[in-house]
Amino acid sequence: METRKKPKKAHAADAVTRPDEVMRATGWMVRFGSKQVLNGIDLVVNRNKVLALIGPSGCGKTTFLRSLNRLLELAPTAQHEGTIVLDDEDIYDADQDLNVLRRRVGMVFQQPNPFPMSIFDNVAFAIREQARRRPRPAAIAPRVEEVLRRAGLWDEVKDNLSRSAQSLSGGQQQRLCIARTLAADPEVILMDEPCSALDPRSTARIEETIRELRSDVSVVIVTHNMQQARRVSDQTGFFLNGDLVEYGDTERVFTAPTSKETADYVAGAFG
Amino acid sequence: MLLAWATGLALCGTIATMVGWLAYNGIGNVSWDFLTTSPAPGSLQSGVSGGILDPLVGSLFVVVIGIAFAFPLGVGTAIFLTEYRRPSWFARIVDTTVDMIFGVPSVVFAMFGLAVFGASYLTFLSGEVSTSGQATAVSFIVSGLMLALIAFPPIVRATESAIRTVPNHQREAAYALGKGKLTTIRRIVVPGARPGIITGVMLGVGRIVGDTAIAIVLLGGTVLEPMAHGWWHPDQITNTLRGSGSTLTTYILYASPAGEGNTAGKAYGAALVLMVMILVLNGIVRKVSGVRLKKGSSR
Repeated sequence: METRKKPKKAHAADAVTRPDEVMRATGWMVRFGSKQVLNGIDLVVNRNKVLALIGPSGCGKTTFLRSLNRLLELAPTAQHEGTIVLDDEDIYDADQDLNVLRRRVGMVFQQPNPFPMSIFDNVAFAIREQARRRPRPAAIAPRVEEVLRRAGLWDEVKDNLSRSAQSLSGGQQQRLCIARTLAADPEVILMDEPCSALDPRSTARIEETIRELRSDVSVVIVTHNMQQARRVSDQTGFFLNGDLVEYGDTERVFTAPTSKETADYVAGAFG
Repeated sequence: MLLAWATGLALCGTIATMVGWLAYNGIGNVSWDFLTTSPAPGSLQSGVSGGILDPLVGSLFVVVIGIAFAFPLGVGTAIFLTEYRRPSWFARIVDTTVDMIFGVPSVVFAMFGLAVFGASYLTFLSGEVSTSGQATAVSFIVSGLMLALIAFPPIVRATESAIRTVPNHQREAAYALGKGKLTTIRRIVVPGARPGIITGVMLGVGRIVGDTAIAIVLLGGTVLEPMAHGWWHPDQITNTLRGSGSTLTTYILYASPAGEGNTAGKAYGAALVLMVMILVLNGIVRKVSGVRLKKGSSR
């Protein structure tokens, strides 16, 4: 097994997670070139809860989401300040193994993006470590079934797992992407508007899956859909122009927001 | 619009005429015997018999050797130019170099090959000139290596554009699953670009099969001297590959009155075989890459 240096514990007292917290961002700032998109975000992701991030387009919620698994770094001009910790480890520490981090913090994208392979291979790709010998399909079949079940897709695909993933419907593809993410055994799953390309029935199906996932993973979901945020999440954060304007239990944010902007936004006044 | 249409028609007409002309003049010469017997020594002047077995095998040799080098080099270069491009000044130099190789006439490569592979310490790639100790620089290996150069640019360009069509979200999905850059390239980007890579290899094969200058200079064009008996034997194959030979193109040149021979019929026959070979190859590749695309599985 690899011997990896444990990333340094974050030193600032407020950058340490409590037992019921899985991730915590402190003073998180992001700039693309000279354009500042996040102005110092302090935010907590609770363990085994669903956190919804809402706000108008361009407010920085997707950028924040991509900060949590360091996909942010794919943008060459991105610069950042502040800390983000996952179970007391600074995820931006130099000793942090990027590939391990991204298995612990998985991601489901806006457009369903299964690989152009079979359903089985899509999940198997996530399971297979970079071992010298690839495990035989039979060896990982039980695991493939398990995650397809958890993503609520098993019954629809069990008859033909060698079918191309791209022959599935959009909703099925997105659940396959969730299954694929689950196969890496993450602690946190990030979802970037996972239902925006789907019809209402598929959306309902995915929301059901999200609620079920809560029993063993934490979910951070970016959504433009107020009803969806209210239906699936335990906590809600409202982003506006790079600031976290409001954060709290979902019911409270929607019924008794403390800021006027939040009240206007959830009432549908802008955005 | 009308002009464009007319251009297309003229093009199709030209090709159809050419294929028809070749078929009309060549078909009578093509037979099983023609394909499976060696050219009869000294027969090309007088117009008597002999087949094209040796040039056929010779073309196959240079294609295999050339692609064996051009394929990994070309795909590797394309991956560098699309997925890495660092440092950018180096990427620009590589880019320009590929274009230059594309533009250099193959006879220049032939001369270059003659000079480079003539070095006395490279005799193991061809033969030794007993009087000087220099290498002859005439062999299947040497011509295969130089032909790899002319097959290289189309492989790079076709692979590059195919890699660019692999959507970025596929790469992101792989990264988000904790896969490194190399794994992502190997398991997602290259398989996604497969149809384009195959197209590039086909273009490369076409250039190698169709090249004449390198084959004449670096292979010797020894139509009149068939390969030694038992050339295919495992003990003999190294010697065969280090030795001189011919390809279909050099055979056509030597057999036709335009070259040294006086057997136009044989030349037409060989040209027809060459043409059909390329068409069949293209068809197979189309079929194979099409099936791959539809099934899309890579267990």
